[in-house]
Amino acid sequence: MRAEMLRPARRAEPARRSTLGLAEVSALPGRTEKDAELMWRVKAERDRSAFSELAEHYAPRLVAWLINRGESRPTAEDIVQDVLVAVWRKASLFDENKASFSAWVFRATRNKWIDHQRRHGRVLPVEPDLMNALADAPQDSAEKGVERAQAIDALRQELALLPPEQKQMLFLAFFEGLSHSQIAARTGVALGTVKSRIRAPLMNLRVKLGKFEGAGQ
Amino acid sequence: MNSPAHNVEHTVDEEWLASYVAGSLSDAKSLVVACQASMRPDLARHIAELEHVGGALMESSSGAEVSVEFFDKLVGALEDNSERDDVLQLSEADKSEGEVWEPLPLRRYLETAGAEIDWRFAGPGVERAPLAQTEDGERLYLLKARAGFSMPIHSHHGEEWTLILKGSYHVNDERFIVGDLHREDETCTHQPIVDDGEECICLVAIEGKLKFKQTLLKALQPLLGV
Repeated sequence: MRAEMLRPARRAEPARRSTLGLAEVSALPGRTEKDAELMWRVKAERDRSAFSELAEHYAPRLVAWLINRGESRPTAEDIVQDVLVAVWRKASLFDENKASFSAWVFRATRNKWIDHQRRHGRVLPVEPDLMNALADAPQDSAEKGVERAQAIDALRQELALLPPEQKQMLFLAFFEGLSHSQIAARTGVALGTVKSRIRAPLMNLRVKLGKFEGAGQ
Repeated sequence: MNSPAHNVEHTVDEEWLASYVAGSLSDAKSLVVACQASMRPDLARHIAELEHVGGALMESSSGAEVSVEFFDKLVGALEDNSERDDVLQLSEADKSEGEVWEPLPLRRYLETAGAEIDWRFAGPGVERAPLAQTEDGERLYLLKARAGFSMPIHSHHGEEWTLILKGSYHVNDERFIVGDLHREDETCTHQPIVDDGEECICLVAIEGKLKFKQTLLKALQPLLGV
């Protein structure tokens, strides 16, 4: 394959601190389905152009996440490269009924980052295996797997519908990993309000997912 | 007093789980949560849900500019079949079953660290196996206590997270069983008592030293390592 196939036609915007352009934090419509199709091509046909589409979308975002966690750009790129190579080599482990690609690669990047810190004496080892981790999430039948995929889709739709201030709080908690106190300090919003803005949508998401998963039982 | 009851499945709350998902939890606490998730399918499922929130936020976030060489190097890495890739190999921890009570993330940790569980005397009826200590004073260790053992009354200088790997204990009328994560902080003073019938083994992540009420225990603390 020529290297050009992996080079994005247009480079992504530089990372910004996330006191947000809130349009940034909604789930992208149709992205899960598109990623699933691309991964199917990677798995079934070893299609490098499909892989390059995934890499072009996710590499800049994963690098940004690692830079936000305090890594240098070269280190962040090394980690993301390792993750994407693992995506290519272990594509057969991806199951669209268990996870969206974005959740899969997000988890893999976090685990690889922890592994990197351990190798450099900064942290304890936790989960050295990058890509098997989501396989630990329980799933006991194909029927349930389909329910799970539908529940994931429902979660993403719910996320897209949340008011901007709730999305902002979730972004800071789940993407940047700030504690509630740190979010209050960053945004100037009272601690109690931060807690309720995070808890309320999560409770809502869980209730809806619970109903969804219970429906087929 | 009623018999101690196990009424709730203990874990940490959403704020801590968000930190775990985002990779912000401290090292020792991350291992504790990973171990609990390996023992509790409901928690693993819940964490997976939260990771979908993180993944959805990531996919639609702004990207960073990547270097000109990045995609060339990625192509080279894909084509380099000779490159050794640990990720593809099952670790010894994955292949061996270890002790029944050892969760897989703990076995992986021990293998990667090249460590073995080294039980040391920590008082009559109780042993302790240190696993790690960080520069900021957070410690990770295993604790094994005989059936019926009563821990001295103590409080903490910070967070104490205890994951039950074998056996059970109770604190007043609240019971903690295998798979429970018992979280305490500096506001709590308590005295866990191991239930009769079986020894209890716990994985403990703790910030700072315990604060004992008894003067003798305070004096012995450096020797006991707790």
